[in-house]
Amino acid sequence: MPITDAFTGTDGTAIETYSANWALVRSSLADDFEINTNGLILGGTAEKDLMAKRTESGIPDAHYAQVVISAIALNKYMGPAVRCQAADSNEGYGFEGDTTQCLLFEVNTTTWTQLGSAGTAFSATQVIKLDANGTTLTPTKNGVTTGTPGAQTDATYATGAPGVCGWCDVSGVGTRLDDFECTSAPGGILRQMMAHHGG
Amino acid sequence: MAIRWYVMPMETVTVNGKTIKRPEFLTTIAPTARWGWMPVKDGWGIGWVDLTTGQNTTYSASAGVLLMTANLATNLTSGAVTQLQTRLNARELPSSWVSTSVTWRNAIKRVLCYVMCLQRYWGEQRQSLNVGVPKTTLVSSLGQGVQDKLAVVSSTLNVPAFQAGDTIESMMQRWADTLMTRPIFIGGTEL
Repeated sequence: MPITDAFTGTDGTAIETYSANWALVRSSLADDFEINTNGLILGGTAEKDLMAKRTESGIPDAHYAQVVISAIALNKYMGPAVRCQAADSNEGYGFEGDTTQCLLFEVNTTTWTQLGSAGTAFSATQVIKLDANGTTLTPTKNGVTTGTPGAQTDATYATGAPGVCGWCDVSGVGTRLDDFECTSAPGGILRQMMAHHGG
Repeated sequence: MAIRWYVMPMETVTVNGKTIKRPEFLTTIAPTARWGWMPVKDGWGIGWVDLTTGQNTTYSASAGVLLMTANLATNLTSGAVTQLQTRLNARELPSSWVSTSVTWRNAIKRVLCYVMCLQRYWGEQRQSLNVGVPKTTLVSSLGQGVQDKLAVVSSTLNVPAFQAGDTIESMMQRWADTLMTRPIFIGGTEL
């Protein structure tokens, strides 16, 4: 069974407060991902680029992250991320879009390297997925990869965790993710329950 | 429009407060062109761009750009051999294998294999492997920390470990031999 998160909440709670299963990978800015309107949004009012990852142990290095676009707005990019590195490292791969385009990128510290020309815009209800298997990254929209950014070989990060990413010019209001899903550790839920109960 | 393969210099720009690295010149010459590349942290990459004849003329003449081919099935010309060897030597990458009996597909794929090795090393060490270090350098003469990272690189890329007597060049050649057997995807295009 995959790990899932419906981002249930309406009060603007920061993602790492909402659940200890999330940690910020890019947290040098004052703003944060927030849970609102029963989805995940880019909180605050300043320009920001953010990345957050799942904290469960044992998620394999070959993993995927997937989200559903609930709402989408110009210059408010959001999407799934994979091979996210240590908390506060600002490193990993992301696939995010707005109403004009979508981008696949590798990020290290504060620099984003674009992997391929931009693809078509994201739209509401689309299922956006980024898969990392070996050195191959595969971004899909509703299960399909067409044109760029398409499947891409990149060897920079061999390990890491699945997560989410986002970037906006000013206020992030307007784009919202829902129904996060990613690969779980072998033994998944049972393993987590045993760890919780000291098993 | 036609897809051609290039050595592509990188530019660093700021967009809405975000620092982005991407191929240099394209946003001016052909802002809507489709492209794909495999970038190296030192500021360049190998990839393809879908350009008109006129756009290709302008892009190919830009500083640092090297037009390789539009036809992956053809062999390198003697002039191309010299050009590619010069670029590889400047980057301290293996170049003795380049000849007129090699197709562009295999030549570009092998260079991409080197790029994968550089990317993986950077991912472990957060610095480049071969800047200022001649490719003839014995791996055993490198610092233990570097050798340890190279061991992680070979393990995570699932390529043979370096051997006693290996130079950086012979190690990368052996790694590339293994990586050549696997598919490589650049902007959705498989090599």
